Amino acid sequence: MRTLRWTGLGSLLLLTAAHAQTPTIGSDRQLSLTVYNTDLALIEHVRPANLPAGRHRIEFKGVSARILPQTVSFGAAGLELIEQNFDYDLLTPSKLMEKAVGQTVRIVRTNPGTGAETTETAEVLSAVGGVVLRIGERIEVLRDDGIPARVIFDKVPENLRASPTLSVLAESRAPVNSDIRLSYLSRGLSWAADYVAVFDETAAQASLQGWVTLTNNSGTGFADARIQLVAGDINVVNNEAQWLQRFNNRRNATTRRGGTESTERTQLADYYLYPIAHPTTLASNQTKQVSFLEAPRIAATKGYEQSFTDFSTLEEPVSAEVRVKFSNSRAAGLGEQLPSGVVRVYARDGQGQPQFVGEDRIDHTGAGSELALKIGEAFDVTVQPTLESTRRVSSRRTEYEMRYVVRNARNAPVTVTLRQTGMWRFNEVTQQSREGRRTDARGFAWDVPVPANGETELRFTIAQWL
Amino acid sequence: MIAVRRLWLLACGCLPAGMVLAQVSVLSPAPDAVSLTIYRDDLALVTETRQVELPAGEVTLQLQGVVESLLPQSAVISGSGRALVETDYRFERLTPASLLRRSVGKPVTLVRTAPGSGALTRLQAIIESVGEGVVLRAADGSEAWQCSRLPERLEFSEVPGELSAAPTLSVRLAGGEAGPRTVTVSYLARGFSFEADYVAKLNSSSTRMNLEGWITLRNDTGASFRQAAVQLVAGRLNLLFEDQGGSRAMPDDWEFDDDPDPDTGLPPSRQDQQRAREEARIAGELALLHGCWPTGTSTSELPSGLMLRMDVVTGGASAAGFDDGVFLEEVQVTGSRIVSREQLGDYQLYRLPWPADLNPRQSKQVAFLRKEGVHVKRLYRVVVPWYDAEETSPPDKASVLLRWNNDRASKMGEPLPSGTMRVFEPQGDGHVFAGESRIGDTPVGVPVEARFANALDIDADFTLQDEEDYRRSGRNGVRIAASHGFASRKDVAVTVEVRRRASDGQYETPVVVRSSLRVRREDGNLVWRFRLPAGKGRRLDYVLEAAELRY
Repeated sequence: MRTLRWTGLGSLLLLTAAHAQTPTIGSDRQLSLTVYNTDLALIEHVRPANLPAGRHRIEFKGVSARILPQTVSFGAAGLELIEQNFDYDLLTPSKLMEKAVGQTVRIVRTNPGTGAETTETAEVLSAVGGVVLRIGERIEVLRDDGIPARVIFDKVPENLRASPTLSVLAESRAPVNSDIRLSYLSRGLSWAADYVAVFDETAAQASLQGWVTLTNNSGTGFADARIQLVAGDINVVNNEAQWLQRFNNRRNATTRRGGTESTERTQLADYYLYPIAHPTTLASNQTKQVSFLEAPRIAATKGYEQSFTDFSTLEEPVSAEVRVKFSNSRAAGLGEQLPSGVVRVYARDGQGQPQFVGEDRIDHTGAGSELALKIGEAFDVTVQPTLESTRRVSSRRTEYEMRYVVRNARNAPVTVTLRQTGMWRFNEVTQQSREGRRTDARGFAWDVPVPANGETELRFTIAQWL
Repeated sequence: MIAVRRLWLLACGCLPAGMVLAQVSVLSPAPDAVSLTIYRDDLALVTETRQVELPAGEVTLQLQGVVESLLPQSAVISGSGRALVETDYRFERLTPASLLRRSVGKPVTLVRTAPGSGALTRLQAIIESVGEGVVLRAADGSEAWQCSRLPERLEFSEVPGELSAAPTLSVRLAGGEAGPRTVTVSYLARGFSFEADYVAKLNSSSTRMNLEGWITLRNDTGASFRQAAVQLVAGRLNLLFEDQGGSRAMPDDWEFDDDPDPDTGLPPSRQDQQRAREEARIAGELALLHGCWPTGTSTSELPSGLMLRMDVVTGGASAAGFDDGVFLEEVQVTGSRIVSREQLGDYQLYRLPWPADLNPRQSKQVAFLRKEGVHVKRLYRVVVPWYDAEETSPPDKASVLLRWNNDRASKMGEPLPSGTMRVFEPQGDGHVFAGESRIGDTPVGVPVEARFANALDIDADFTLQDEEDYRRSGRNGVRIAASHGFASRKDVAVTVEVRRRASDGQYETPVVVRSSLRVRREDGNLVWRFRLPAGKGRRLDYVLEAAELRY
C-alpha cells in the first residue's frame, strides 16, 4: 500500500483525454468505520477494480464529504499512484459562468412586450462583478438593458460537481483485477456514550444502561458499514470538539477517585474498542443508538453539597447541590469502564413512573472509580451565608466570622457538606461550632447534619494572611 | 449480576452493499396513552404507552407520531420483553430549501412566464446542483435557475420521501416470541415549559393575605396531546448545553432581540426567539440557494443617485415568511380544582388530577395553591450601601414589601416555586392591583419577602452630616455621621426599616458609636426598625466607625 499526500487542485486539467481510459470500479465491497469520540473517523472503502493496463483516472464516489484529503491512503496490487485530487469546486451558477470565460454560450432574450425570443451565440469575456460578452462584433454587458436574458451552457465543466469528489490518477503495467483499498480520516462522524440511570433512593441502588449515540453529519450516507468505536482521548491538533470536551470534563469534576480495576474490554493501546458486531447503515444526518452496557443493580447514594469561594452575605438562601454517588467497581455491581458521556438520572414518582431529575457529564472513567454526579439543586435543602464580622487582628492577619444556616424542609434528616474554598496562602480555622476538616491548602469542609424539618447553624472564624 | 451486551445484531452481515436488509417492520401510528412531565427549562419528559403485536424474530418498530423535538439520545424503551438492538431517529422538516436540496438529481419542470404575453413555457429539466444557486440540466444545455430575470418557478412531482414522513423513532428489537406487548417509550423533548404566578389579596390592615397560586404551562411544539396525564416538576435540574451532549438548547444568539411584545408587554419566550432564529436560518439558506453569477451592469459601480439600478428579482427570498396565524396562542384556564403535590427526589412534583388535552402552541392555567388568612407584615424599607458614594447619591425610595414566614404557624407552610406575585389591596367592595414582585423557589420554613412597589406616601431623605478619617493605634479608619428623615402622609401607622450593609471588603465591620434609635444586626446588615405614626415625621441619627482593611 502506498500513501501519497494530496497534490492540490486543478491538476486534473493537465490530463489529456488520450491518457485516460474508462476504468470500472465497483461499489463498496467492504466499508469500515472507526469512529472516535472527538468528531473524527477513519474510513476504509474496499472496492473491486477491473482495469486494463495503462493510465487511469479513477473517481471515488460516495466518500465522506468532510474527508480530510491530506490523510488519504490508496492501495491496490499492480496499480501505481501518480497523483490524487480532491475536487471541491462545487457546481454553482457563479462557478459555471466563471468556467465559461473564453467559451461560447447561447443568450436567449425575451421581448418584454411580445414575449418573443431571440437567440444569439456569445463569447464570455469576463465574469468578475458582471458578465461581459462578445456577440459577433459587439461587446456588451449581460442584462445592462434589464431585459430578461437566459444563458444556456452547452455542457458543465467536468470538474465542477454537485458534491466534493476524490479522484486519483494511477497507472498499471498489466490489467488489474483486484480490490482497491481507500482509507482516510473524516470529520462529521462522532459518537458519545449516553447513560440512563434510574436511582432508587430508599434502596440505595441504581440501574445503569449505556448507549452509544452515533451521529453522522459528514454529509454522506454509509451503507452496511462495519463500525467500531474507540473510547479514549487521542491527541488531535486543532480539534475544537476535543478541546471543548476536555475542558468540560475537567471543569465538571464528577470523578472523585480514579479506578484501578481492569476489565475484559478489547484495548487498542491505551484506548478501549467497542465493535458493533453487525454491518450497520448510517444515513446522512442520522442519529443512531446502540446498547452497550446494562447493569440492573449498583450501589448508589445521594448527598448534598455546597461550595463557597468567598466570605460574603447572601440575602436569599441558596439551594444545596444534589449529587448521586456511585462506583463503577466490581464490588459495587458494575466492574466496567465508562466512556465519556452524559448520564441522565431518573427517579420514580409517587405512582412508580420514572421521572427525569437531571443530568451530568462523566469523563472516560476507568473501572473502580468513584463518581459524584450533580443532578440539580434541592428545593428543600438550602444554605444561607452571613458574614458576621471582618476584623483586622494584626497588620497582616484578617479574621472572617461566617455563619451558615442550613435548612431542611424535607421530612427526613440530611447531611450537607459545606466547603469554604479559595483562601489566601496562609489560613487557619480559629473557632468553629462543629468539627470540620481541611481539604487542601486553601480549603475546609464541614459535614452539617440537619434534622427533618429543621435547621442547623454552622459558625466558624477563619484567619488568613498573605 | 451484570450483563454487558456485545453490540450484536442477529441480521446476517454478509449481504452485498446497498441491499436493504429484509426486516420485519411493525408500524405503531400513534401512542395509546401519553404522560407528559413538564420542566421549567424548555423541556418535558414524554412517556408513551403503545400496544403492538410483535412477530417472532427480529423486528423494527416504527413509532410514528413522536414529538418532533425529541432528543434521541434520551429515548428509553421498555416492556417489549426483547433485547433492544438499536434506535434511529431521523426527521427533516419540509421547507423550500430542504425540498430543493433533497431533489438533486431528480426531474423537475421549469415553468416560465413570458413577460408580454403571459404565455407559459414548460421545460423538463434535472436539478444538477444545489449550492449557492441552482443549476438545471435540460435537453438543450445547462442553465441557472432564476438568473434570467424571467419569472421562473420549479414544479416538483412529489415530496422526497425523507421530507414527507411524520417524526418516527425506529426501534430495532432482537428476536423473541410473537405476541401482543405493551411498550413504554419515554424521551425528553424541547418546547415545553411552565411558570408559577401568585395572586395575593391583602386585608385592609395588611396583616393577612389570601394567596392563590397558578401554573401556566405551555406547549410550544407542533404536537397535540389528547387526554394526557400531566405532571409539572418545580426544581432546578442540572442540565448541560447540547454542545456538551446535554439536553439544554444552546443559548440564544445575541442578534435576536429580546424586546418585549408590544401587545402583552412580555419578553419573547425562548420558543419565539428560536422560531425567529429558525426563520432567519431558512430565509438565509433560501437566499443562498438563489445565488447567481455576478449581476453587475455597466452602471453598478457608478455612484448611486445618478442612476437607476435594476434590481435582480429573487422572488423566492420573501417566500420564507410564515403565516402569522400559525403563531396565535390559545390560553385555557381550568376550573377551580387544585393540582396535587408530591416530592420527587429533591423537587416538587405537581400532578393534574384529571387527564388534559394540550394543543399545539397552547398554554393552559391550573391552580396549584390556595391559602387563606396568611400572617404577613407590611414594611417600608430604605437600603443604604455602606460608604459607597453616599455624598452624591440619595438613598433608594422607600420600597413597600410583604414579609411572611413560610410555615404552618403563619398559616402557610407550602413550597412556593419561583414566580411572579401580584399584590392586590382592598378598595371598597373589590381589590386594586398594587404591584408585583418575583419570588424565588421557597421551601417551607424559610422567610419570604415580596417587594412589590415604591411608596408614594412616605418621604425618606438622607443627609451625610459629617465624614472624617481618623487614625488610632496606628490604623486608619473612617467615621461618618448620618441622618435620615421620614415623613408619612398615610392615615395609618407603618413600620419602617433602614438597612445598611455592614461590609464591603474594604472596611472592617462598622461599629455603631451612637444611634438615636435601637439598631440590630440581621443577616450581616445594620437594621433599624421603628413605627412611623400616621401623618407624622421621624428622624434617625447615627455615627459609625470602621477601620480600613487595606494594607
